[in-house]
Amino acid sequence: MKTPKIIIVFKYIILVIALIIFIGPIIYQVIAGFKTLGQIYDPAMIMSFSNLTLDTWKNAIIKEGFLHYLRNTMVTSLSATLLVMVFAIFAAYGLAKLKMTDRMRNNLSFEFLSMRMLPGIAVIIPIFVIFKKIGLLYTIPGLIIIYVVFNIPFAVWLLEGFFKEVPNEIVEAARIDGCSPRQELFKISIPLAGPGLMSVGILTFIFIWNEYMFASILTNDASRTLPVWAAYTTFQHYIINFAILGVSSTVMIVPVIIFAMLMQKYLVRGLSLGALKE
Amino acid sequence: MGEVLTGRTLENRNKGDHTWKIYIFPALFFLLLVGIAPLLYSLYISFHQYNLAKTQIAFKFVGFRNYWGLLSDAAFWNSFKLTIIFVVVAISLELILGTFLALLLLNDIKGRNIFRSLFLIPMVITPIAVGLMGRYIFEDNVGIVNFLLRKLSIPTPIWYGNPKIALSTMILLDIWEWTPFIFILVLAGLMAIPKEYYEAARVEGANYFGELFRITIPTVRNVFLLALMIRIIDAFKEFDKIYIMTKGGPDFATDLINIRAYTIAFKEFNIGVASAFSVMILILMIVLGTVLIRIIRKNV
Repeated sequence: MKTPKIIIVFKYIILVIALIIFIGPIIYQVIAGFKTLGQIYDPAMIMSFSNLTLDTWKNAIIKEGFLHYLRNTMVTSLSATLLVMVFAIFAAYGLAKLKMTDRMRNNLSFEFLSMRMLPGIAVIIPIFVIFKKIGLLYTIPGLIIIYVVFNIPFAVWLLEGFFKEVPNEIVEAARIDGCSPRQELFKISIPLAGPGLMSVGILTFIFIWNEYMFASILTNDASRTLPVWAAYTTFQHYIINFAILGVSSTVMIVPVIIFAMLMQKYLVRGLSLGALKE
Repeated sequence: MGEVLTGRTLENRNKGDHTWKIYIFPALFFLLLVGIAPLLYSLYISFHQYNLAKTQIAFKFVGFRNYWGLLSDAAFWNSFKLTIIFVVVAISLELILGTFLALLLLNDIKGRNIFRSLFLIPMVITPIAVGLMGRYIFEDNVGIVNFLLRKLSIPTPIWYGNPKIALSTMILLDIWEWTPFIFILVLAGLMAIPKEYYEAARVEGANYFGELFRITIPTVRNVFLLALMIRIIDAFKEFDKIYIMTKGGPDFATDLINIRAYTIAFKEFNIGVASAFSVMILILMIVLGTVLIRIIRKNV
């Protein structure tokens, strides 16, 4: 049974409209970074995209110190992601492949999952006070510590699924050949679960790269990350600067979009807590 | 549950029994130390008068005063009311729209993968960029939304400056951001249904709606539950894009629980009251999380 042509045409029309709604605003926002403020604030020129300029970009790099904040974000995201992966790989491997009672396995697994529900605001208030007392407030290491803690539960939950897919027979064979669990993990399980590990790493990186609330509390002028800088720089003058809004948004979203496109296959799986395979 | 036995000798096996602790405890310890221990400190602060901005106010024990203060504060109840409206309305519409899009893309569509990759974008981009985008496109005079409405001679609302409309605008933005999530999950669930199910139904003479309600929806029920759970938890935590757009205003119209607690803590520096607030948010999330995980574990 074939669907009538008219219905297929109708489907495409709806899909294209949906696409314009979901993608159009992002493109519009990116273009704002290449317009002059005069063009942006002239209602007659809303749909005119001629005479684009690089001035706002130059300004962001030279005057606003954008590169410094990009560096902060890169350092924070990369080191936090790396630490998350180290902690989570061991924990997930333990949960998936090491001998323990089923009851213990279930409880621990549940514990990691339930920590994903931890409301950030409840933790950040005491952390702010504690960090202030021990001198970690407004420092990048302080921010990294928080990101590591808040991203371990999700990473463990996902990695556990990926490690469980490594056939037990292979793991057992390696053990019988005299591999310790650690050797087995590095020589067999990690290579076999490689693509999964990669996707968890990238998802964790995206989450940290995108984070705003913790960063807005735990950073200052020097240690700001891109989202905090974007919020600050857009609103720093009396009127909102939509041109700098376009620039700061673009630098935040472009890397994420590239990553998402590359890792599309794993994204579904990651975002559905590992329940759906693609 | 396949368990891996290290085998070989008895000695080795006994040793193997405790290896898991070395693997799991570092992560768990770190989580407990930085994630859970501060909550106890927060509980302690919540019974004290503590203001970081006004040092002349002494840190002293006040019992339940912070809690009673909040419970008799209209802004506190307002924030819970708004959060529940936000969560229920946004997620319901996201479920409907996301499922609709997934059903559209399921059959006979060439370029499905391209559509799907593009629909992914709104949910992965930085929430602050989404909030800034909302600020720009919904702007009264130079925003593209009002520009298009004017072209179509439709009256233009003040999207985020009007207390009556602001929450709806936030819901709209949330739908824009998260409908793709439901869509992607439901599509993955739908594509996993074996074609034979539909063929069998057709042999028995089922029409489109018969298939929809007897095969499609029951089979993706688990996917719905999962999507619902993830979205509910995240929607209760909503902060970034609304804070960047309105800071909870105008006139408390978009003042969700997280924004209220954040304002008390980091704008008024009233750490005692904010701690009491966050303890209540925590209790809400524990109850909600436990119920949701129970449901998921029973069904999925």
